[in-house]
This record gives sequence, structure tokens and C-alpha cells, in this order.
Amino acid sequence: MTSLALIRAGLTRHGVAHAAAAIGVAVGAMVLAGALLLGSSLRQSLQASALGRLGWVDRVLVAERPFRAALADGLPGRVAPVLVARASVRVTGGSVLGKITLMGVDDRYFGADGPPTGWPGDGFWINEDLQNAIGNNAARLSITVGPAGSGPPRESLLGQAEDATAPWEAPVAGCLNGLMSHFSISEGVGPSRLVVVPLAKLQERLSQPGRANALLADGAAGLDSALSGAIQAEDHGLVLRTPSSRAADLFSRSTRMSGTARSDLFRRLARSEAMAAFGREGAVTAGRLEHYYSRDRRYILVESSGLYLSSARVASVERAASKAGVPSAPVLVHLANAIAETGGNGRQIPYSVVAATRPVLGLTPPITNLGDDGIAIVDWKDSPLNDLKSNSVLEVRYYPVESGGSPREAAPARFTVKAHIKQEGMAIDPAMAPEFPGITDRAEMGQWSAPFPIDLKRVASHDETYWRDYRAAPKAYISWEAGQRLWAGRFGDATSVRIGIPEHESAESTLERLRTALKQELVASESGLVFRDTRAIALAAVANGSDFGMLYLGFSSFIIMAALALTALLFRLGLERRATEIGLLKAIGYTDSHVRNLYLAEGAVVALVGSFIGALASAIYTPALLAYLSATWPDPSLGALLRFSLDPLAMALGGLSAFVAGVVAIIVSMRDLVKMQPLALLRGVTRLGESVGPARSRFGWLAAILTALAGAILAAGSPFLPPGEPRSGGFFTAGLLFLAAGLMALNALLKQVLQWPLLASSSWPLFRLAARNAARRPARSLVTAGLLASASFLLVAVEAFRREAHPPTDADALAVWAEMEVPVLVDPRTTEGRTALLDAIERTWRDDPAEASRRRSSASALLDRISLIPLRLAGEGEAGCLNLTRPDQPRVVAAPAGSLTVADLPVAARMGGDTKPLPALLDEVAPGAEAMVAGEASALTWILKKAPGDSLCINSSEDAVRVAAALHDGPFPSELLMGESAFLRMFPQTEGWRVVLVRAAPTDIPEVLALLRTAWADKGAEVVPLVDRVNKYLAVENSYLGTFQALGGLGLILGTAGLAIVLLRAVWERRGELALLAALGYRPGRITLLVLLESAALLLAGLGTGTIAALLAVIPHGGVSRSSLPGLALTLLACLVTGLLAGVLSAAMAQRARVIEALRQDA
Amino acid sequence: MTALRVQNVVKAFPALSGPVPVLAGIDLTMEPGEAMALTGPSGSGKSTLLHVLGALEKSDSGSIDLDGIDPSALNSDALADYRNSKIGFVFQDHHLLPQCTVLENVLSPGWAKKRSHTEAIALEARSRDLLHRVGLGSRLDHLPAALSGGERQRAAVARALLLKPRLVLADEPTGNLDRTSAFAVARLLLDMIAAENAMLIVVTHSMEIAGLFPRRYRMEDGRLAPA
Ligand SMILES: Nc1ncnc2c1ncn2[C@@H]1O[C@H](COP(=O)(O)OP(=O)(O)O)[C@@H](O)[C@H]1O
Ligand SMILES: [Mg+2]
Repeated sequence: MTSLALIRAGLTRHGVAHAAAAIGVAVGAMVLAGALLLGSSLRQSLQASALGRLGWVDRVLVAERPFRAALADGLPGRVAPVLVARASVRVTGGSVLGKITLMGVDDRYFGADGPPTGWPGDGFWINEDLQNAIGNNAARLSITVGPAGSGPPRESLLGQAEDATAPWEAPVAGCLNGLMSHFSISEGVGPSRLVVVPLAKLQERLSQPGRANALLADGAAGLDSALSGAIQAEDHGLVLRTPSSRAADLFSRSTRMSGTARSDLFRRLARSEAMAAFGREGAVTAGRLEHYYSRDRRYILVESSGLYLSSARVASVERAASKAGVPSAPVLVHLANAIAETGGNGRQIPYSVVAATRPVLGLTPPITNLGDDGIAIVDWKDSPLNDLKSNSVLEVRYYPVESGGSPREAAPARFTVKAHIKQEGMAIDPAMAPEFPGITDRAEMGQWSAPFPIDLKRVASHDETYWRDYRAAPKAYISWEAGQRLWAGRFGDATSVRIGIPEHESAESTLERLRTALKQELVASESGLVFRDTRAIALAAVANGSDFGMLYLGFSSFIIMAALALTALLFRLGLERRATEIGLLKAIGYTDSHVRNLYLAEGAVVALVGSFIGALASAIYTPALLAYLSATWPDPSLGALLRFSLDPLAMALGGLSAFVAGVVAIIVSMRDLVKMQPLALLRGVTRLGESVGPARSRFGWLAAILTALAGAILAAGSPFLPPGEPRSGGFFTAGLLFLAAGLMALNALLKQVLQWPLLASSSWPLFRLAARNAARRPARSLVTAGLLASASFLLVAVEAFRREAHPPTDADALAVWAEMEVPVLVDPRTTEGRTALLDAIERTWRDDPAEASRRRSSASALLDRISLIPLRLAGEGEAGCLNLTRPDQPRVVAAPAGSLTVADLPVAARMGGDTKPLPALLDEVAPGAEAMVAGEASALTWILKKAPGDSLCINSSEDAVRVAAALHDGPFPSELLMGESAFLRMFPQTEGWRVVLVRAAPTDIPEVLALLRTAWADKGAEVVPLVDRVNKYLAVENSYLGTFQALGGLGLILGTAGLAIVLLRAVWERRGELALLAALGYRPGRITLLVLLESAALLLAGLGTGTIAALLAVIPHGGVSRSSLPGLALTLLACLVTGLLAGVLSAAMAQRARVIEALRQDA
Repeated sequence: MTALRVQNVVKAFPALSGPVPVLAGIDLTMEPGEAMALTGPSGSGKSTLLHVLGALEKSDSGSIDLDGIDPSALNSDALADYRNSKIGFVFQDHHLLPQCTVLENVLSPGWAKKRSHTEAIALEARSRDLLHRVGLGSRLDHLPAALSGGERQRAAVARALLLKPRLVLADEPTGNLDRTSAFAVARLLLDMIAAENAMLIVVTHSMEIAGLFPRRYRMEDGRLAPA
């Protein structure tokens, strides 16, 4: 016979044994290829989803403030201007669906597809994702539109605190389809709920005619340079006003005025010396007005569409002016509620503008050397302060700039009178203060419509006269520095910059030069006027997302090793049955290596078949895993997103690795067998001496104890390791050490068991006999017990990580999370905020006044019992486990200083060196230092890949923050937390509070939910118990853990199968012994018991070692939650029962053979 | 007083060509302390007879009465107890448990039942005593693998006698032994039977060994014939 024939004969004759060994390799290949497939499927699903949300768009520009939609016109390639706003939809039945993007688009948005049929039609176009969320038959929608980011900062004194935006109701015009129907302007994957309307309609709705706040581009070459050439100062939110444009504005406004207002205006203009030269009242013409402005107001005014100019902007403008060779002066004005003499005299001027500036001849009044506390008073007719002596002390009372909605007067600022200014020149220029609709356009102070309280009783007739003549011209000046101290802040440092026009130059040519200089000085990124490589960012987010495939592979290694061990065991058992054959081959002169190669060739075929089948099976296994993930994932949209993708490379790689590992396992398994003496083999001896003699086990015990000790040290220390990978690593290493110690101890025990006496004086002789039987083949017993031990270890250890947040029991605990699309602008902790809330409740019941007042008073009582904590929110990227990608701009929340306590923020790990309480640390603002953030440990580790002490960038200007602490089951599972002042420094444009946390007693929670849902329905508020929110994120972890446990379960099956095979084999080998016992008069039950005891011993040793190792490792981490104990116990019990059944089965099979035949065969 | 009465025991084995009769009506009586040798050609049914007597095999018909018990009427548990308490087997191959020491092997029939501590202590004393008597007093803690064939067979004899059986059945116990050992084992069996007042049936091919026994039978055509 040739070798090939021998191999073929071996394969066919021992088909069953080989098939069993092949199953081991197949399981290994399936798990290995499955993990790889899982990883590639996840990656591809996420990538498909991320790219699906981009459509034709490669690059996106999102500006902080609206810019000219026309900016898109001159840019190369396809560029679509869009106006984007956050929105929420109120679904019939009253529930609110948030996180909706409302976009105004024109035809360009739809790309090559062109607009859908029926576009624009009448009403809202929605996409499939939104339709799925609201149900199919919503014919009309009521949409609450978030702010568009223009006008004065809404939290500033002059901001419109209360939203005038009534919900926008319109029919559904159609459902979008095609390439751009899943578009999302924000990063991420998964569904994108979209409402699309024609651009012009949204421009009108948001009062942004001709404007857009985002550009979508296909990334044609030259886009960036074309953009920077096309950007004008206006696109940065700057307003440039020349004398003639101001004159024209004024004249055109005058034409819209009523007769008296118009004549008042012209009387004032005529009263000024300069105008008088042009003639009498009524003779004011547009031309004359322009001439006057061009001569007596020779400056260009640079203002902001958002009222305030940031310090960077002021610096840019001033640099541009100096480049253009013209003088500039920044001005910061504020409304003083009173400029009052200190002391009992009580002389004061109500509601007057105070300006801070750097004096420049021709641009500002001549005020010099005011110093930090000097004030210059403009003298005007009947001014109560006219005869104030130098060095008298004045108080300026004012509302702080950042006091939207609920202004409280700041501590009065004291100034010393340093100068009186004559009422002439720039001192009577109303343009010192920017135009502010509702105030500067009113003819009388009595007609002011201000967003803050005004006490008109304090306004005297001479005040009205001044207003009528000079309107907002400041009545006092302070130094620029003093102004900065009082009124500069996150909104900006100045209200305008004045630019001089040189004597012999026209305003237009100065403007031209200024524009050119501004183009160089204004930084496009400060206004968000840069295209981001959205496609690249999306791909990077997916690529940097948590690599679940690798993680899964790590966990799978347990099972892969178990499967290989099983293969080795099975192959070995198969070979042992063929010992005589091996002996014969050797006896007739085959060399060791020849024999080895023969069997290796058989083994290779076995491994090849196994790994091939396993690789194929992974195409079933992986979809099952994906289905499990989708089913247990708390966000149902994952199911729609996850697609199994058949990756032949991953399968081949998995199969190949399993093949190689299988061959290695087979080589190891037969290593000593082929080296045995042919005579011994011929007699059927398959071991190099059955080690029944006295064995040294003292060293074994010592090693076990030392290993366990190392595990104990690591386990005790691992809670102090940084969270995430190091800590889990520590935990698992400790667990593995315990496991190894357990198996070493088992090994030592097996050696010792062989020497347990079986004498009459020793009890349980049958058990001792069974234990001795188990110890006779220590390698087999160890492999089986080891399989069971690692599977049960995995099962129990993973269970320890399963977590669930529990509803708070503390009356003071954070209990409710409300998140809205339209921010709360009035601090709900203030009386005004509370009133606004109660008013909203009352409004809901306006048809039933009695009910309304009843509701109001019960709401008021509830508000007395609870406390509301308003949180700022920025960033769109989920920084939590629900996000499978890595967010580029993670969600960040900020709580007001002092509002969160140590108890609210359960710290898992801190940055080294800090001992300050976490809330205090976050609130701290050291100038120039990195801001501190805290985040949920799991999100930091897996999603952001950061640990305490690391830095990360969280906004578009790439400002870095440092992770101060990782939280464990904290209230922010999906966002970073920072202090409010640091937050406002990084996100100065943030308006209001989009999240409100509520401290409430558990019994109050339902009422709180109802209250806030009603009161903030028009803000698109989603209000949920905090514990539900936290649990949603924990459910993600549990979902992952479930898949790991499925692996553990698979391991248990493998282990139990291994046990059954080992037992059957052992019983078959020992059928003669068992027959002898029968002949000696052992009852059948007693023989079964003997076999059963042996299997029980192995089962208990395996399961016990694994479980105890896992529990020991888990204890320092808080142990296994009580709720999971029954499930665990049940699983282990099921495994025990199965193993025992295998024992019974093998015992029964043993006794089916007739005693005499068995005895005879044994010979 | 007859302790063993075998009457007309018939046993046939099924084969493709129909039942093959092996025992064709065995009649035998024995008194306590009696020993007999059984000879006959290979395949004549000697072992089958021992197995039927030892309740390892059921007869087709006929009756066996050992101290008033007929094993053919017993269920499997009772059969086991019967073998345990009434029968002592010595096989041609010693069939010692390789994982147990000589002493443990001798004790092993004792583990078939739960026993009180005093009983167990008594059994252990008896095994030691038996092993001393068969000349293995110094090898109590040895494993079977460390013994010679004759020593193993002597240990098997000791094991067969542990529970004071009424009937000791030895199927070619000396078949694998050299002449000296064979004689030693045969004499040992005879001596021990005499001392325990039990009955003994020994199957042997050796006429020399058979000559040691007062009663000798030959198996022929499924029947016992005096030899
Ligand atoms: N279980 C069995 N099935 C069929 N035939 C058997 C069986 N056991 C023994 N025999 C047959 O019975 C006959 C007697 O066997 P046995 O009692 O072993 O003979 P001896 O011990 O005298 O050599 C033989 O022909 C043998 O083939
Ligand atoms: Mg025979």
C-alpha cells in the first residue's frame, strides 16, 4: 500500500472519529471567521449608512450665522445653499418627536436626480425615516422650528427671550425619495429625520431673506479658493455702513414713518447746526441728507448682524483699518437704567446709553484720560447732571449683558466725573449705538418695546425731548477698558467699530480698500465659513468607531481555544483506538516521522474539511449574531442599519487560521503517541506509563497558590486601574489567573486523588473510586474540565458586567431629563422662568379657566418641591454607546456652577493629581488653562477612546478640553459634562438651555413628566425619567455582553460535548472493568452511579473552577447583580444536568454490552 | 445436606442455523467444603456452565438451588446481590482493577453495597488476613502491574473469597501460569475452600491439576461425565 492509500483508508475507516474532530475545527473556524465577518459587516453597514446620509455631498459648510445664499452661485462644481434649523414634530396624539432637521432647499439640493415630482407643492416634504417615525397617515404636521442663529444673542439683555415662534402647521406635500432623501447635515449613522421646504419659504418663515446657513458641495477642485474669494464681510455677519448708505437708510425709513414721526425726525436733523445750513424744515431731501452725512459723519460703521462683535472680529477690523491706513475706534454701548449721583441728592438720568470707546479725533467725542473709573457727561438742555462738579461720584446702574429674560440689576458701577462734553459733533451722533428695532426706531421713549422691564414713571419730559432730538446718542462716556470690564463677554466686546474716511478720499474708495483689507484679516473659520470634508470625516468616524469585531474576536479566543483543545482531544482519542495499527506500522519498519506524516496528513484533511465547513457556517452564525444585536439593541433603528455583508476574505482568513491552528493542535495531540514503542502500541498501551505511582504534587499546589495570589492582588488592585481597557484587562487577567490557578490545583488534585486510599476506614469508597478513575487520564480530564471552566468563567464574568440603573430612591436625586429643540431662554430657576412655565401650563387650558387655574396652582406646588437644573447643550455627535462611530463633535452639556453635587456624579476614575470635588473642578475656570470635562466611562473608553487625563477637541475651532473624570452610571451616558463658564467660552453662540434636569422625589416623577411635557411641548421637549435614559445606554452594553455570553454558552456546549465524548470513551475503554464489577455483584445502579460520580466530579471541577474564578475576579468590582443570579444558576445547572445525562448515557451504554463479552474483550 | 443442587440445566446459544445446544441437561449436587475439577475440550461449555451457576448467564431451563436460592428467578438487582454474596469468581485473566492496589482490589467486592463502618473495618481486616494467607502480605500496597502472574491470580483468589461465598467458580485460573505457580494457585484454592467450608468448581485443562481434586468431571456433549 502506498502512503496515499493508507491515508485514504484511514480517513474512510475512521470517518466518524474524524468527523467528530473536524467538528471541533469547524466550530473554531466558524467562531473565528464569524468574528471577522461581524467586524466587517458592522463596518460596512455603518459606512453605508454614513455615506447614505451624504448623498452627492462631499463637503459641507455650516456657518454660525446666516450668510448670503448667493455665496453659492459663483462656486465651482455643484453647490447648494440651504437654510437648516432644528425642529420637532408634534404627532397626532400629542407626543413630540425631536431631533428633526428642517431644511430650506432649492433645486440644486436634489443634485442630478432633480427635485421630486410635485416639488415644491404646498407644505412639508418629509423623508422615509421621519415617515416611519410618525406613522404613515400624518397628513398635516405641526413643526416647531429652532432658532436660525441671527439677530442679537437671545440671552443678551436685548435678545428676544420669549419665543414668538408659533408652531408651523402645513400639510405634508410629499415624501422625498432618491439620493438626498437620507441626507443629514450632522454626523453619525442611522436614520435622519428630515423635513424639507423650498428655501424661499423657510427664509421667509425665519425672516432671513436671501440667506442660507449652510452650503453643500460636491467638492470640485478650487472650491476653497473660490469660496475665500467670494466671501464678503457681510457673510461674516458684519454690516458695513457708509455715510451715504446710512443717509439712504434713514431717508427710506423716514418715508415709511407717520407724518408726525417724520416731521420730528426732520426737525431734529434740521436743529443740528450743520443741517440748518441746508434750509428750513421740510426741505430735507435724500441728497441733502447724504451730503450732510458725508461731511459731518465721515466714517464707515462696522456693525454686527448679531449686535455684538467678538474680540477677534474687533481685532480683525481694526487691523484691516490700519492696513488701509485709516483710523478706527471700537465702541461698546450699553443701556444704563440710571446714571445717578451717589448720596442723598438723588439726581439721576433714567434709561440712557453709555458708550465706552477709545477716543479718536473725528470718530468719537473728545474724551481723554478717563482712566478706569472716570466718566464724561454730555451736557444737554435740562440734564439733571449738568452742573455736577468734577470728581463727583456717579453710579451707573444697568442690567448685565448676559441677562436674557430675567434681568437683575448688576451691582452699580461707580465712576468719578472727569469731564463734561459739549453737545456737538460726535457727541450727538445716535449711530454710536446700533440700530435696535423696537427702541432706536421709536420716536418716544414711551413707545419703547424692550425685552426687559422699563419703568416709564421715571422718564421725565426733558428725557423724552432728548430722545426725540438725539435718540440713542450716549449721554455719558467711559473708557474702553471700563466698558470692557462691565459689558464685554461671551457675545462680544464691541457694538461697532468706527472707521475714518481720509480727508480727500471718497467713502466708496475707502470702503473698497477696507473690504480688501478685511478679506485678508477676517478668519473664515471663526464664522464657520469653511467647507469641512464631510465625507472623509464620516469615513474616519466609522473607521475610528469601536471595533466591535476585534473585541468580539478577543472574547471568541476562549471558545476558539476550547474548540481546538476539543479537536486535539478527539483526534487523539481516535488515534488511541488505532494504537495497534500504529504499532504495526512501526513494527514493520516505518520511521517515526513517516508515521507522524501519515497521521498528520489525515489530520490535515480533517482540519481542512472542518475549517472549510466552519468558514461556510460563519455565514449563518454571523447573521444570527447580528440579529441578536439588532433585537437587543435599545434603538430599533439599528436593525434597519445592520446588514450582513458576505466578506469572502474574512471567511477565508478565519478558515485558514482555524486550519493552521487545527493542524497545530493535531500535531500536539499525537506528538508522544507516535514515539511510543511498537510493542506497547501493539498491546494497546497509549500512554507513556500510566502515572499511578506516587506523584509529586507539592510543587503543583505551590504554583496554584502563587498564581491565585497573583490573581488576588490584581483583582484587588484592578478597581484602581483607569476605567475601560486597563480595568477590564486587569479584571480579565485576574480572572484568568484564578482560572489557571484552579486548573493547576485540579491537576495537582488529580495527582493526589490517585493516592487517596480506598480502604474500609475511608468513607465514600465509590466516590473515591470514581475520582480515581477521573484522575487516571489527567490530560483528558483537565481538557474537559478546562473547557467547562473557561466557558463558565466567560458566562459568569460577563454577567458581572451586565448592568441596570435603578430608579432613584432619594428625594434629592436627579430624576428627569428634558431635552428640547427650541432652547429655554429664561432660566427656569428664576421667578420669570417659573412664571413662563406656569403661563405655558395655563395657556394649554385656556378654554377652561377654572381648570387652568387649578393646574397652575398644582404645578406651582410641584415646582416648590422639585428643582430644575438647566443645561447648555452643544455638539451633535452622540458620545455614548448608542453611537457605533466616533463622533467628531461630541455632545457637550454644561450645568450652572454649583448646581450639581458630588452625589450626582458617581466617579469611576479621576485624572491623577486632582483631589478637588468633581463639580467644583469642572466649574473652575483658570484663564488659559484647558477646560475640564467628565464623561461616562464606557463612552470615554469605547466611543471617544479617551481616559482621564487625556485631551480631546470638541468644537469646530479645535479647542481642546481635558478629561478630568470618568463617571460610572452617571446622568450623562451620551455627553460630556463641563462647567458652564468654560462651555460658554468654547461655544459662545449657544443660546439658552436645551436640556433641563430635574431633582424630584420618586413619587413626583410622573407629575414632573406631565408638567414639562405640557409646558415645553412647543419647544419640542422630549421628557423622560433619567433612569430610562441611562438604562437605554446600559442596554447597549448589555446587548454586547449578551453576544459574549452567547459565546460562553457555545463554550459550555462544546465543553459538555467534550465531556460526553471523554466519558463515552473512558467507559468504552473500561467496559471490562465495569463488567468485572458487575461480575463481582455490583448492582447496575451502583455501576451507573460510579460513572455518574466521575462525570459529576469533572463537571463540578470545571464549572466550579470557572465560576469561582469569575466570582473572585468580580467581587472587587461589585459582584454579580442579584437579578442575574437565577439566570446564571439556571445556565450552569442546565450544563450540569446535560453533563450528568452524558454520564448516564455512557454508563447505560457500558452496561448494554454483556458482562461476559466485555470481560472477554478486555483480555 | 446438599448445598448446591443443579437439575437438568439446559442452555443453547442462538446461531444463524438455529439454536446451538451447549448445556444439554446438567445435573450436579455439591456439599459444603466440596471441591471439584471440570475438564473438557475447548468449546464444550465449561465456561457456560460456570456462568450459569454464577448468574452471569441465564439458563434456558432446569433449576439451580444454591442454599435455597434459584438465581433464574431473580431480578437484576437481586442477581447482583446473589453474585456478590454467594459467588466468588476467579477468571483465567485475573481482572484486577489496574488503578487499585492489591489490598483495594481484594476489598472491591465490598464496595458493591453500603456498609456500616464496623462492617467495613471487619472486611478490611479480612482482606489483609486473606492476603497474608495467599502469601501477599507484603504486597498490600502494590498495584497489579507490579505483580507477577501468579501473584495476581492469588490476589484474585483472595478477592473471590472476601465476602465468604458459598460457591467459588474458577475458570481456568491456572491457564496462564507456569507449572509451579499453577499448582500453588490450585492448592491455595483448595486450602482456602476447606478453611472456609465453601464449595469450589475449577475448570482446568491440566489433568495434573485436576488430579488434585477429589471430584473430577468431564464435559461431554453438554453433559457432565465423571472423569
Ligand atoms: N454468547 C454466546 N453466543 C453464542 N455462542 C456462544 C456464546 N458463548 C459461548 N458460545 C458457544 O458455546 C460453546 C461453549 O463455549 P464455552 O462455554 O466458552 O466453552 P469452553 O469454556 O468449554 O471452552 C462454544 O461453541 C461457544 O462458541
Ligand atoms: Mg472456557
